[in-house]
Amino acid sequence: MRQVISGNEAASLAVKLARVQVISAYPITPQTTIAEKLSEICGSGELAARFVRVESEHSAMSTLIGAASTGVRTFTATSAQGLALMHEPLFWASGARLPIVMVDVNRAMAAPWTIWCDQTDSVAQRDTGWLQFYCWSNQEIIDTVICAFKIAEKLLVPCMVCYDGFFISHTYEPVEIPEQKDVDEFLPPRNAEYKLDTENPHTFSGGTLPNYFMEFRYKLQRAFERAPEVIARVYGEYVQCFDRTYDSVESYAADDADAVLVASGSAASTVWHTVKALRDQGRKVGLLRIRQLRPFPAAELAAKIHPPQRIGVLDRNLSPGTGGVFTQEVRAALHRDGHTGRIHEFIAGLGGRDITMNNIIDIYDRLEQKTANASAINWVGLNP
Amino acid sequence: MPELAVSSGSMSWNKTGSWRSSTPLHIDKTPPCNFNCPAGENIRGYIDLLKHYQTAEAFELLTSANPLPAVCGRVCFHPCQAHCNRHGFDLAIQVRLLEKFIGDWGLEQAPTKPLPQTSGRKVAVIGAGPAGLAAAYYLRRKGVAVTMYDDHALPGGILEYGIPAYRLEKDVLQAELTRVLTGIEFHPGMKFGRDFDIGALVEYDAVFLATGAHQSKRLHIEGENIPGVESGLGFLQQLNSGEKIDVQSHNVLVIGGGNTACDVARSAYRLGAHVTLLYRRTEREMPAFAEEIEQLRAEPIHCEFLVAPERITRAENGTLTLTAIRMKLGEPDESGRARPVAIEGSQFTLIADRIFAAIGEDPDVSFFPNAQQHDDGEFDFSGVDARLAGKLFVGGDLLPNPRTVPHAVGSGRLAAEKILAQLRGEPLVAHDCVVEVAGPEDINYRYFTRINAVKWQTGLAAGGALSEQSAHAEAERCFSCGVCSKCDNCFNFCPDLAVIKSAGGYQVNLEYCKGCGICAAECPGGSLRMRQQ
Repeated sequence: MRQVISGNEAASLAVKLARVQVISAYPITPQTTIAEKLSEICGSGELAARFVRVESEHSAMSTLIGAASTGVRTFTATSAQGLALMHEPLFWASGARLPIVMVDVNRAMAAPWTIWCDQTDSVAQRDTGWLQFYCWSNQEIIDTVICAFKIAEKLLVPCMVCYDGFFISHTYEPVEIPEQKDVDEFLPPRNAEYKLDTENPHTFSGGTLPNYFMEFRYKLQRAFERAPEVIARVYGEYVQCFDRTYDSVESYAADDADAVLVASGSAASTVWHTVKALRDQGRKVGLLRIRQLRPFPAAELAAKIHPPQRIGVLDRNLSPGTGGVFTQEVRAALHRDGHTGRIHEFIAGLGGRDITMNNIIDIYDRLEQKTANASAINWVGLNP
Repeated sequence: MPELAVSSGSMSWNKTGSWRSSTPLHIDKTPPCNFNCPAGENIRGYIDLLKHYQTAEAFELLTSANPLPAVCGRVCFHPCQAHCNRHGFDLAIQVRLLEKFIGDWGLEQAPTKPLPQTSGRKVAVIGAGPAGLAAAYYLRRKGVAVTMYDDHALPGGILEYGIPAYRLEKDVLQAELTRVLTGIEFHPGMKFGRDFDIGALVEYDAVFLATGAHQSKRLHIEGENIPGVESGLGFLQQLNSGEKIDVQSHNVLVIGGGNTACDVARSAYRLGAHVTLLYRRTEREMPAFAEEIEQLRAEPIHCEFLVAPERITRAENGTLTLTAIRMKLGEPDESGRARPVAIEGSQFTLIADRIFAAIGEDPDVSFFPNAQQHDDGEFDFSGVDARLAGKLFVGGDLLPNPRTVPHAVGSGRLAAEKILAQLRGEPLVAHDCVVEVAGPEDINYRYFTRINAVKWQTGLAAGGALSEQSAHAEAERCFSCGVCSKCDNCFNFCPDLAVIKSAGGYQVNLEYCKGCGICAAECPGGSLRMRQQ
């Protein structure tokens, strides 16, 4: 069934279709309408889930840690400061290997106070041991949230699905909504190997001495190393059921391009339109859309870059003192692959500023004309 | 090695109870409503039944302590409400309305229960007021044959002849008395000492004496016996007996500050009189029930506080002149209230057609000329007659209790229990042993939502009576102070799964209870406590 719905509605519907059993969330713009929609769905009985109201995001995540430990399927959603408040239990969720799924509607971190979009909130959580997906359309949201449960439960790793606040969360698009019976077939109920059981009490994540702790971290890292294969397999099953799929790195006219821009989120769709327009003018430009920050699809990216292409990375986030987080990841990935070319770093659209087609054209101009700075940040649309 | 840090075996070997330094105990405290009920009702208990829509069971429980719920739902001063832990939080549980609801349900719907056969034991009850009625009711329900005497034509005592009909409707009283008197032999118009004497009582196994207090206290001033100066209680008795009393447009003075004075003033006002109430202290010291004072003050009745009568004279045309003196409050007297002191030279006069004295009533025990009275007001009838030795029990206003209907009911029920114990040759079993009263410090107020008291009260009593739905809603507000309400908080919050549900409530598995105290902290009504080991 095709419906015109917002990004947040797409996320909520995916949660319902995934038959989540425990939801706990605290309202924060621009995520709030997810919590509202889910509470309605739970209140009306459409979804037989327990919706636990809490007084903070820290409690929301902690609630899900408890719930997920009993073997049920769990979900929460948040944004910006709310995600930052979860920082501490995020480590617990991954260390305890709980396949919690969370939507982060990307919003810039205050101060100064803002409710508008950038990705600094979620990229700042890259070391917490969560899988991270970045979506560029409402269709991708509903598909990715459904897949996220399966991926997380297979890997025993929690999963964050991120998309841009307002640009995607509050924008309405036609979305193909999967049938419940098909989702049930694709995503059976969670079958937890380890779970809290009052009849058979075990200790979970108790005090662990130096002789074992490192091994548990090793196992977590191994899970992330297995992730590309598991993710590919899950999307492979998904395409069988629903005729849609996604790659961790998606290439648009990049193979024969002289200038390639690496981008994620809603900005990638502006790049896509720009690439189409510039290609019509005969310019050889391309887009590589990154769908994951964790695990970072290093091999997949390297395989899609063909020297001597000029490479730019568009970052809608900032790690002050370094620059854009995706740029660092791209540099590390390509360096590991033996790539020696320059990676140009473009910072744009912080705090909800529009990234326009003219901005993108300007970036391609600078890449093609070799006027982009390869050793410092190229700020886009800045009025200092 | 597993993917995550999980113990390989069950952890049930780990008896965390050994870490415990204090133990949770489910020990009920006495709710303040129950503690303060002079009739000894289990108020929290019947409210809990109303919570579950069990009105019949609520009626059963209520009448196991007080056979007159419809009456008390109207005339009791409800100290339970004054001591309710919800009082001060938002609004005390409106027990008065709940009691009235249960009482009225009983009048309409209570099934008639067959009385037990009489066992041959016989008890005489003298006085058919609330004390005598309660004693007779409980004795008869235990198979004792009861013969009841009263000097009036109708049973009820103060309920019939003292309390005005606007406070206690006659049909309600009659209906309730009919139920209470079922199976009891009632002899009206029989005044003890006049129409029958001790000789007639010899045949009984026990005698319960509850003749009340009907003798108005004297004013001890000049002119108190002249025509037009009358007893307030006498006026109420005439009125309640259906006598026509014409005080239309009369100037009426009422002297006193108790319930009788308020009833007289309000009754005279209803008969069209211009009423002035005189009291020698201030409104704050009035001994009448707060509710009655509030209603009195809401009516166009003039009140003169800090005024004492000195002298009454009567003119040729019958007009009365009361000379009164202004008072001021001095040091507290033996009753704890400020002693009124006359202000010299402050005399003034008031003109009246009728003056009613209502400064209190005393029992009339002239039937026992040799009765003794102790300093605290308690009568000693032990030596009045050898034929009654060990068989005479007293109650109601003959006891040095506050003169209220629930006190009388409570004394009647207690007397019945004493008589039954004596007839069985057993000591009286004290079953209402107070351990500790649950106060505000026992309540976890975070579990309760404040209501808008004014809005709630208005909605609740629309039409003057509760519907089943509103009675349920009101009962739902009860904190269940000090008594386990089986809310499952202790069960849900215990981190060690050491709270186990059992038939009667909860048990603590001491093998695993670490004594953390979360259960006690999260108990809404304070029936769980931690005891140091």
